[in-house]
Amino acid sequence: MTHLLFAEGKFLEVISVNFWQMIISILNLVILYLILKKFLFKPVKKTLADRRAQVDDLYGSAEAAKSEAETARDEYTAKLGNADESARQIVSDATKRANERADEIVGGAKEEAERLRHRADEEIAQERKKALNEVKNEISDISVEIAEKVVGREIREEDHREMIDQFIRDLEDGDRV
Amino acid sequence: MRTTEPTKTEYKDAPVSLRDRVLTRLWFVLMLLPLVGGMLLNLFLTPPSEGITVTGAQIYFTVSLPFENLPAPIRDLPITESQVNSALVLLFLLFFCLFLTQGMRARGKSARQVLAEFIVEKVEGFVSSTMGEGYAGFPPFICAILMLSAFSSLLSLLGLYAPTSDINVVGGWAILVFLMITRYKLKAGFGSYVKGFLEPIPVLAPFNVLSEFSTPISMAFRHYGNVMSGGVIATLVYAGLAGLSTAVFGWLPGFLGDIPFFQIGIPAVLSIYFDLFSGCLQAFIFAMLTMLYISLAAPEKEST
Repeated sequence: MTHLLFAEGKFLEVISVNFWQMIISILNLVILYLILKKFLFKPVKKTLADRRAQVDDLYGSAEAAKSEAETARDEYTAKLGNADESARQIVSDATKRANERADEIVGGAKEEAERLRHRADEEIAQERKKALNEVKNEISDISVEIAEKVVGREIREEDHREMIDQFIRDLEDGDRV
Repeated sequence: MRTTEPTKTEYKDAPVSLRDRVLTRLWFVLMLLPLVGGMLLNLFLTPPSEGITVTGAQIYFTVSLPFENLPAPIRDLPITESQVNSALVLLFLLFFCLFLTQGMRARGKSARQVLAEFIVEKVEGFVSSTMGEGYAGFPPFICAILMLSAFSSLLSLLGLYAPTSDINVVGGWAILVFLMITRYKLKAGFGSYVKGFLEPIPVLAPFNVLSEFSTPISMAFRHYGNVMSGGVIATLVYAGLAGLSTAVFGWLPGFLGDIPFFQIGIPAVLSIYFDLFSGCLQAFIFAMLTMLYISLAAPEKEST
C-alpha cells in the first residue's frame, strides 16, 4: 500500500530534539489539565458535595425524628403511669362502694329478719294466750259438766264459774311462781 | 397533644432525561472516533516497512514558520505522528470525561459515575498522601499527567505510534514540571533559591546546577526510554519470529510456508508487559516523581 495524501514518508531520528514539538507537548498537557479540571473534577466534586449535603440533611432529620420519638415515648410512659394509678383508684373505689353496698344489704337483711322474728314471737304469744283462754274456757266448761255430773244437780253456773276461775288463776299463779 | 409531622424531604433524583441518554451515546461515539480515525490514518499514511527499521515518529508534513532569520531547527515544525496521536488522545480523553460525567446525580449508581468518582477520589487520595495537605489544585494536573502518559503509551495497543516514545513529548512534560519545581523553589525568595545551590559548600555549586537540570532530563529519558525500548524490542521480536517461522515452517507447500506462525500469540504476551504494564508503570512513576519533586521544592509551611 502506498502512502497517500500529504505523507512525506520521512521519519524522525530515534532521538531528535525539536523546540516546537516540546512546546506543543507542554500545551497538550496544560489543555488536558484544563479539560480534566472542568469536565471531570468539577462535576464529580459537585456531585460529591451534593451527596454530602443530602446525607447531612438526612442525618439531621433522622436526629430530629429520633429525639421527637423519644419525647413521645417519655410522654406515653408518663401517661401510662397515670393510667395505672387511675385504674388502681377506680378499682379501689369500686371495691369500697361494693363493700358498703354489701354491708348495707346484709344490714337490711338482718333488720328484716329481726322484724320478722319479732312479729312471729308476738303472733306466737297471742296464739298462746288465745289457746290458753280457750283451754281455760274448756276446762271451766268441763269442770262444770263434771261437777254437774258429780253433784247430780244443777249448779248455778255463775257461782261456780267464779270459783273455778279463781282456782285456775291460783293454778296459773302457782305455775308462774 | 403534639402532632408535629416530621418534615419530609424527598431526595429523589430526577429520572434520566432523554437529553442525558442521547448525549451519553453521542459522547461514547465521539470518544471512539479519534481511536478509529487514528487507526485509519495509520493504515493509509504509514508506508510498509522493509526489514528491521527503528525510527522515530513519522513526519506527516513540515510547517516552515515565516521567520527567515531563525535557524532551521527552530524554524521548521515537523508535524509528526506524535503530535497527531497526542491530539487524538486529548480528544479521546475530552469525550471520555464528558461521557463519564454526563447526567451525574447525587444518588447515581451508574457504572460511568462510579468510575468517574473512583478516578477523582483515587487521584485526590494519591496526591494528598504523597504531597500532604495544601495542594488542592494539584489533583487535576497529576491526573492529566497520569492519563496523558498512560493513554499515549496504550495507543501502541492499537498499533499506533505511542507519543510517549518521542523524546520531545515527554521532554515537554518534564520541562513543565521543571518550571513548576523552580517556581515552588522561588516561593521562598530568590536569595534562598540561589543560596540553595551553594550548599553545603560553594565549591559544589556547578554540580548542584547540573543536578538541578538533570532532574527533567532524567525524568524525560526514563519515560521515553522505557516506552521506546518496548517498541524496539517488539519490532525485533516480530522480525525474529518471522525468521524463525520461515526456518521451521518454510518447507510447507505454497503460501503456507509464508505464514509467520510464530507471530501469532507470542507477541501478545510481550505486549502485555511492554504496552500495558510498562506504559501504566511509567505514567505512575512520572506522576510520582512530579509530586515528590514539587513537594520537596516547596518551602516548609509554617504559618500558612
